[in-house]
Amino acid sequence: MSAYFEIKDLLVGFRTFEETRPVLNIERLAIERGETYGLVGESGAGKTVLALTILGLLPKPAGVIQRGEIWFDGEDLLKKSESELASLYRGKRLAMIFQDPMSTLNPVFTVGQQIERVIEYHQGLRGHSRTQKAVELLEMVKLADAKNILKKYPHELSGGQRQRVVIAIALSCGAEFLIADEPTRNLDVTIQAGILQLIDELRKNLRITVLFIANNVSLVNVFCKRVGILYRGKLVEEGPSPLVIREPLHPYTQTLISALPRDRSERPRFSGFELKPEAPQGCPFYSRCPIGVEFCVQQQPRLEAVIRPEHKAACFLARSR
Amino acid sequence: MLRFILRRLILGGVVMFGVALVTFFIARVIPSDPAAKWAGPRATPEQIAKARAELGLDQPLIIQFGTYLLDLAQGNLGYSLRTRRPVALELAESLPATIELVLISTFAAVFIGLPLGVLSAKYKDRLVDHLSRLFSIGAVSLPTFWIGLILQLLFARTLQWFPMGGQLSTEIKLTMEIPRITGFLTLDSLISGNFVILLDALWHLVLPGITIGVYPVGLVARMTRSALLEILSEDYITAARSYGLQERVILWSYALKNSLGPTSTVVALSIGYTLVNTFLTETIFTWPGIGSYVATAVIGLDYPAIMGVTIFSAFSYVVLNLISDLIVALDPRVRMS
Ligand SMILES: Nc1ncnc2c1ncn2[C@@H]1O[C@H](COP(=O)(O)OP(=O)(O)OP(=O)(O)O)[C@@H](O)[C@H]1O
Ligand code: SF4
Ligand SMILES: [Mg+2]
Repeated sequence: MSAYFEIKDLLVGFRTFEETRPVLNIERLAIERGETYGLVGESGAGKTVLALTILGLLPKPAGVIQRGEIWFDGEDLLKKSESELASLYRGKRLAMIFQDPMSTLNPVFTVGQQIERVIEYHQGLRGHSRTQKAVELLEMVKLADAKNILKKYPHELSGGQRQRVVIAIALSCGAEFLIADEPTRNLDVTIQAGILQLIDELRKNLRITVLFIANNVSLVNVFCKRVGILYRGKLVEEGPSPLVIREPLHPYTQTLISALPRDRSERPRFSGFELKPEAPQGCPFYSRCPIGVEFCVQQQPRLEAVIRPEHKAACFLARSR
Repeated sequence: MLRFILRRLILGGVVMFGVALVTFFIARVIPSDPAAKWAGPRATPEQIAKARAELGLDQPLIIQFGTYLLDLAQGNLGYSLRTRRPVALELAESLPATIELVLISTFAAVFIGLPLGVLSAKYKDRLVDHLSRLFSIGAVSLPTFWIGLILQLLFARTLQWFPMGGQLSTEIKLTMEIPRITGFLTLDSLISGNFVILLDALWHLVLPGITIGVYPVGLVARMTRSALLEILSEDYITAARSYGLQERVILWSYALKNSLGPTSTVVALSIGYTLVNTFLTETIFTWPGIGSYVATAVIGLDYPAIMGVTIFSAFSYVVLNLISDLIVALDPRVRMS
């Protein structure tokens, strides 16, 4: 019996001329219904690739799913055909917010045309009731003057407004599982909080499950119950967010957390960057690990419970400290 | 928007002035005496002098140029040295036949080239794509006159499926009354319900039509493919897929509209190019259009006729460019800046 959402033994790679380079390798990642799961990792860790894999939208033919299962409400998404995914899942049950609101809206259609096309397609609404529904959706994401915004082109809106429009479209057809891929990454700090709050409210009101992707632990702490840390395509730590942030077990998580500015005057501090040679057979973090030992070069650590059963880390030395 | 149009109009005016200037002076350095031609083959020196005055050729160059510009502005392209009829009138008579060819090739560009480009982008690196790219490369790189000659040789001469040239068969020209309403043969025969003539006209159109159409079809297919491929990798396309929209909608509406700017520019430019290609094609297929007209003019050094055709071609080019600029300007992103 698998969880509401569960990734099992997933291996995703990108094809180059010579080889298929592994980009994502996740043994298990499970999310309960109604939960908000935070996924944190630096740029290039594979966060967006994971999101696209779930939706079946990996760039073709470069991206290949080599093996694995993605269970969603009792069905393995990776066994679904493209047309099943398109007609039964995307938009209807699964939705995604992309990381750059500047590029996720089509520049040559008005906001109204873009929302209404999706509503019409999924719900068969036309004419006035379709427009009415679009206005309601824009009001749901707290955009003032919704009627006016429908007539605008994306470039006439601010970044924050665009991201709200994107959220409205993504949730327009009653999706129950939302992947938010760094929804505030390209927005001003002042606007970020509003968008985060909106997503949190929508999650509560619409009772949706959220996979929240971020490149910053502090964002996740605010409203994710659990958090997973992704490093080079692998989960290196996972647990309840307060616990992970208070007592990080993996050296990578520790560098992430110590890099957070404590107060506004303090510059982010980085540590653990002394470069050692890569360990192809061993721990993926070895080259940057401040405490790595000889043993770490020979074997890959697995994600395992340390101290508490709900708090896991993939590090040989995690238990000893 | 209005200022944009105005700017383009002024720019077009400048280009036209430049073309007028260049054609005028080139005509003056051609080693030929227009007055002697105008006066006729056995004219006395006095008659030639009189003709020179009549044509204004005894005036200083700058005055001649001024008069020429004034005439142009009124749509007066001068008189043919050969037939002594107004060049503008003769152009108007041979224009419909050429326009028929240009229209056919433009339709082909839009209704064959565009879908071909879309399919090619959709099935990138698959068989359809390879075939379409092979065709496009051939279409763009093979010279039009070569295609025309080969088609003529194969389908007219050897296989005899189609006529060697002309707009109508001789029997039909001799035995039937040819309707003249708009000047467009196919349209006129359609309007007057004369289907024998219509069929014959269409039958004659096939080879020159293909010859002319190959280039724009290939060009548009290529441009559409590359524009679409770039657009299909954009985030908003992935986003549209994540909403569950059908691939058909995404391709033909979401993506295609974005590529309309570059594509329409190419279509407009290829019409201009087609106009040039008609000259050779018409000569090959003895098609009574502007191309044949200018060919006769060149051989006879009928310089007002040559200048008239040059001015007319340049004018069409400027107008086509203006139209494509306007289409591009309809893109909301351009409209802003
Ligand atoms: N289309 C592609 N072709 C080849 N490699 C790709 C492609 N897309 C992503 N990758 C590779 O996959 C890896 C993960 O990329 P991904 O976009 O998932 O990172 P990310 O965690 O989302 O980073 P960011 O925070 O910058 O968005 C990177 O190493 C990247 O080079
Ligand atoms: S396993 Fe070794 S190298 Fe890897 S993080 Fe732990 S201590 Fe560092
Ligand atoms: Mg990303």
